[in-house]
Amino acid sequence: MKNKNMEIMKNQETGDIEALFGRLLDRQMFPWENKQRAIGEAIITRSKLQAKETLAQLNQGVGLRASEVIERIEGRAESWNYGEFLDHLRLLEIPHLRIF
Amino acid sequence: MKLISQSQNQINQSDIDGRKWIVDNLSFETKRLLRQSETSNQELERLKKETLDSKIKVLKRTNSNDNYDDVFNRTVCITADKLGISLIDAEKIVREEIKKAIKEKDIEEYLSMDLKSQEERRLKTLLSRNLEKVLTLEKALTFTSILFEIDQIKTDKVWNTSKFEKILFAGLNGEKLNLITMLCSINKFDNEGGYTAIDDLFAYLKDSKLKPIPLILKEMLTIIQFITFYGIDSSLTIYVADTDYTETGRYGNVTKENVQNIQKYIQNIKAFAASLSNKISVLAFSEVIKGNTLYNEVKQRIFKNVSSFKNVDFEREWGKKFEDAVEKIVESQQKKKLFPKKDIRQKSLEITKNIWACNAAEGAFIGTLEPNTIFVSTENRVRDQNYIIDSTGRENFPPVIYVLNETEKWYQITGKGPTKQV
Repeated sequence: MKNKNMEIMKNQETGDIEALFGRLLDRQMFPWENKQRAIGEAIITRSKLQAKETLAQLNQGVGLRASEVIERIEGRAESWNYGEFLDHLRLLEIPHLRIF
Repeated sequence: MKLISQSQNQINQSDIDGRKWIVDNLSFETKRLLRQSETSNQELERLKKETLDSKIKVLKRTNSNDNYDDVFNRTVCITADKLGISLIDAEKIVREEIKKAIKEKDIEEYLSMDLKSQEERRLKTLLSRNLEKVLTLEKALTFTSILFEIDQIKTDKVWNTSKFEKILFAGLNGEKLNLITMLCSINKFDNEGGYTAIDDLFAYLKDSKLKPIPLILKEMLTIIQFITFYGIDSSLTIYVADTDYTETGRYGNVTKENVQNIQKYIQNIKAFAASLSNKISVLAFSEVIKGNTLYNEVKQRIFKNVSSFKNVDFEREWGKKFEDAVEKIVESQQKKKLFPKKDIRQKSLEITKNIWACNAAEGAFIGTLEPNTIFVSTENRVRDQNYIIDSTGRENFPPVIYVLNETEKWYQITGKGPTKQV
């Protein structure tokens, strides 16, 4: 057994890990939802999706959304039974907050 | 006159409190959003710069087929000649021009390639590591494939990865895996103090807020099929947490009708599971722990601990988490309206104590199952921490995988979902 292990380690050092990794990328995955595909293909699909999602999140994160501030305060006021104080939000005398 | 003045003062005080509360929250939320915006901006700038560097790298690697060696160098030199400026200044101009031309699509492509390389590097390291562990090439490939697939479908990180890998490896060596899961009952609240346990598994088709049990069961079957696909034998035991209703008091008074409904519900699950596979068995949790000394011991111990918090070590580890759990229960009880408003806080405290005691006892029981057990959770990792509240369950608790998402998918399709239960 030990020899076999040594042999694999040796192969790794001589670059056979690359060939083995290529085989791994070509391996067919379990057909989730009847979709058959290889590991390499799954990595590409997931990377594309993640890139798209990351950018969408960042673009959304850049903008300041007054509505989000208000939604969060409304939610919190409700759980703390401070609903009545929300009137102050609507009656605030600070002009630029009225746009909420 | 004095009374009117007092009442006026109270109103004014309440008015001041209200305004202060609103301003404090506005300030907090606005600062939070500003920080978020700043971080997103910095991250986008970083990605843009990396995209630029990667584009320049490609140009530097592209042969210009003339004396300039590469395309980037050629562009810089020609710009310097044309504008009569130094090469350093020309390079700055060229970089700026390329940067200006970068579109969102370019950043997306760069990011996608970068993520792909990162994932491939990670997988290659994993393969090398598994090669050292599992000796044969084929087993290393299979082992890595399984871990990759779990990682693809996971909804949360595996709990106790090293134990999970050890059990998988035993499976690859011909040992049978014992998959288990805990399934809850289906509950319908009328939000006016009423509660009904539903026995019909397909009730979700009429009321999309209810849990889609058949979809969850079919997904469980997929997990068995996935393991079989990789040549590992397994069976699945579903424990139906009927004790959630009878022992925790979270749904108010225990009625005969609801107990009967839950029993019928378990029968329906058994029938449905049998129609899917003979590898699935369904057990009522109350039956499994009947007369189980360990279960009862742990339940009593944890109930005592959460009732007084006199145990310093226990308080340090669980005190804050318990307080948070009570708050969550208060929130959900406010919506369910099972108890009068004035009793909600006290009832929630009692319910949380019961839930914690039961969960810890369930964890202790699960820890006594056979060594090749893998827990396929229908919950999330934060909630599942309750299983190890008692140290008895901790050491032998099986690894937990989070791979089920049919419920989430169903709620996404219907745009509805139940009140989150704690």
